[in-house]
Amino acid sequence: MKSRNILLCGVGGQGIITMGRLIGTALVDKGVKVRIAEVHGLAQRGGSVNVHVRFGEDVYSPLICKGKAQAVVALELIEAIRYLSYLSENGILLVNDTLIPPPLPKIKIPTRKEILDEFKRLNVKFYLVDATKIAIKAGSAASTNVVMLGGMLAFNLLPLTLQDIERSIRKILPPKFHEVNLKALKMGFEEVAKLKRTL
Amino acid sequence: MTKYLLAPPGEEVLLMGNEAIARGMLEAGIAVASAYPGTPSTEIIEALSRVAEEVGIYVEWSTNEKVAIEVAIGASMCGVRAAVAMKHVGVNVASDPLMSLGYSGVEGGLVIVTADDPNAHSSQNEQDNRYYGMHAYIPVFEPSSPSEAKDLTRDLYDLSERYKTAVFLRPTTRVCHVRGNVVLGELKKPERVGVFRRDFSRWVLLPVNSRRLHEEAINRIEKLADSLHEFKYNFLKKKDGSFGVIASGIAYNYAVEALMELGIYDKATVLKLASTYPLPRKLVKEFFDNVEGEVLVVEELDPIVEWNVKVFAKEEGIENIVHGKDLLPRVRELDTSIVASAIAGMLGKNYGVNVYYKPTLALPPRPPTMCPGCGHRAAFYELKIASAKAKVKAVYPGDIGCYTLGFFPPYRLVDISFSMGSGLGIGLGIAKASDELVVATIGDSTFFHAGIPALINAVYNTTPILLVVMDNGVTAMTGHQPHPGSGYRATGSVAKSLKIEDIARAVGVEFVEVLDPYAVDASIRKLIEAIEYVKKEGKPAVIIARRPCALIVYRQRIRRGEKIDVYYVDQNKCAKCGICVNLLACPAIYIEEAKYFINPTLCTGCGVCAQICPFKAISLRGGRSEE
Repeated sequence: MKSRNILLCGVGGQGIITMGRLIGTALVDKGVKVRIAEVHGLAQRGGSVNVHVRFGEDVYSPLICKGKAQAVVALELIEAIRYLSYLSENGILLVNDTLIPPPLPKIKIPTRKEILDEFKRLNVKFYLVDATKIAIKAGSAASTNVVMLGGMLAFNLLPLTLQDIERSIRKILPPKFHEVNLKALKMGFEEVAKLKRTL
Repeated sequence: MTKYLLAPPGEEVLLMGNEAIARGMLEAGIAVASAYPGTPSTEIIEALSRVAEEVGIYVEWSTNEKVAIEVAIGASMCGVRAAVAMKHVGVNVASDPLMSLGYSGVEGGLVIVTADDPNAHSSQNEQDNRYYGMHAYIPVFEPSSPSEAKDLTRDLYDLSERYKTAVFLRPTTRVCHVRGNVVLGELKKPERVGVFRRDFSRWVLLPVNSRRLHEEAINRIEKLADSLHEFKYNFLKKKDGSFGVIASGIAYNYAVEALMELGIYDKATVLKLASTYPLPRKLVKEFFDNVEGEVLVVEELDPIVEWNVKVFAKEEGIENIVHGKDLLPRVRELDTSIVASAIAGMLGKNYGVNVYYKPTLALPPRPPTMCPGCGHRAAFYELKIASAKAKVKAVYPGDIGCYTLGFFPPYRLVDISFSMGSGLGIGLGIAKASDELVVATIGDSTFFHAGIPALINAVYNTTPILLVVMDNGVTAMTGHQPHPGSGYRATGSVAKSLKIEDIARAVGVEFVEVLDPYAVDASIRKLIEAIEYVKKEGKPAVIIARRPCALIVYRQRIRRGEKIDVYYVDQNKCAKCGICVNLLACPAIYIEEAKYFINPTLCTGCGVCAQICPFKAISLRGGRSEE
């Protein structure tokens, strides 16, 4: 398999590291070579978080270089802009349609419209997912990450099936959270598949 | 966690580098492990603590890195295998016994993990701890991936015992916090109970022994330099010899991919190094025997390998041109593009990085923040108001932990952040050298780690200073490890809980008060009282702002299925004064179309904002339905 690069990003606390673990576990179970680079420690406290996911035979480095990610998957709009430079030519951006303003006094926050206009101006192939809303429908806003993971599967960004990620969920997450996340995964997959068809 | 760390041999699992190191220690049969938490090293001992009882090993969080390494040395003197882990700057704290350890050597195998942090992702500096190896005559090994980290860790125990030397395992952030495929090996049953091996000639560093041991330490390193070519984690890939690359640790991966990207992987002669001190002499010689052209040394941070290779080449009469930091940066971390540019530069080839999407929209920064409900935020707010009401312009030395975030606006109450415990110590100097009022902040874990000697100094030398201890009951920033005040140990067993106020009083501080930062007005009054005491009496005072970490409390309440009562803004009463956002800056409060709101999924119901709102516009709403 040619090496693939996917950059996950968002705000600390949105479950981006868990997303990487779910993907990584499923890939290892399939015998795929994987390297996932994470950010731990202080940066996790509500800061900007990114996780580099790389897989395939020729993967050695854990880091994706700028301009080399086949996909950027963002759980928040401002962070999508922040990490856009990682996207390869014609790569796709999958973004949760949620804007979380940093809690800093007296700063200018770009509006949703300004951000979407920037995507358009740059000619980015971007897809907006109502992941947080779908997650709430599935049972908890905390499953936004898993909804996006379902969306990634709908876009064939991973050599994995729904069943593969379901197995990861059962393996990694506490039993209490299995049901809601299995539901979120399926709903994410279906909603994004629908969205993809209407494009 | 427990499940996969103890999974059966032969199984391939996804492990974080730090977990892989922990597994390697278990495969080597360690009996004792100790550490003080610090990013990026924390998960090693954390992983071990979770399986300690099941496996039958002793694991502890020590008060600081000096004590941690001493515990490991003691275990090794009893002939059992021991592990100690710390972040790079932790080795500074442990360096005194470390230097003696370099002389004495070990009995039971001893691996010291120094988790270095190129790019200072979560640290005050980018120090390169390979120097410590050279400084203390302790060999240094750098793993390149989680998988290699596990096997290397395991095999280092044999090497440690064969040469009777402690060894440094030096992973960096991009090994520690990278997950990858790891094939598990056999777990080795630990020899838990050792016997102290009395040996005056090695353990008693009186000058008569030290002079001899110094020589022995040098001889040990020389012997290693002549045998490490057989160590399988060092290897040579020979090709046509027109050019060569030497790469160590994580940088090896960037070098391999850079060569692939340039389409010259099949042409390059590559020396991959795990042992960067001492260099495996015979292998380096063989490398140069096979390279006619120029050579690039690829390593992060300082040119340790480059310098040692150059010295070796000079001694051997090798004439190849050796590049390194002339083509690669000496600061921050490397990646494939940076290394590809350097190799291309050496070979006179072109290499460019294409960035296709360059947004120009101005983005707000998103620094880490204190969590909603964090007691530190309330305490910083109160300290700011108390300083204003007491009409003082103080100097605010800070320290290292979540509360370092008091640096950011709107608090701006961290004027100094140096190293563990240094805020108070430096504050003492400022108080003696100037007329400034000094108000230092320190966390509970940091107080135990390195704050106590400075506090004793303040009492002894009668220094006017206010110390505010931000006490949330755990080492929060690194992921909630317990400390001597927490009341439980690394493995969860119940422990005596040391009270910071008892310690402060015991060392002679006469003004010691505990406050609850959630009670805003009372806290402000106590802080003013403390400031006035310091000014009037010219003596040290200690305030302990105590609130358990909001993140832990919140998680416990969710787990118990408790309803969390959250606050809301009454738009009819809100005068849009902005105090809640501009002075408190809780992440749960936000502005939309010039109106103030509280995000009910973020609010933890601490009620601090309701107390500071001058218009009483914030009040309690019923429980959150969503959880």
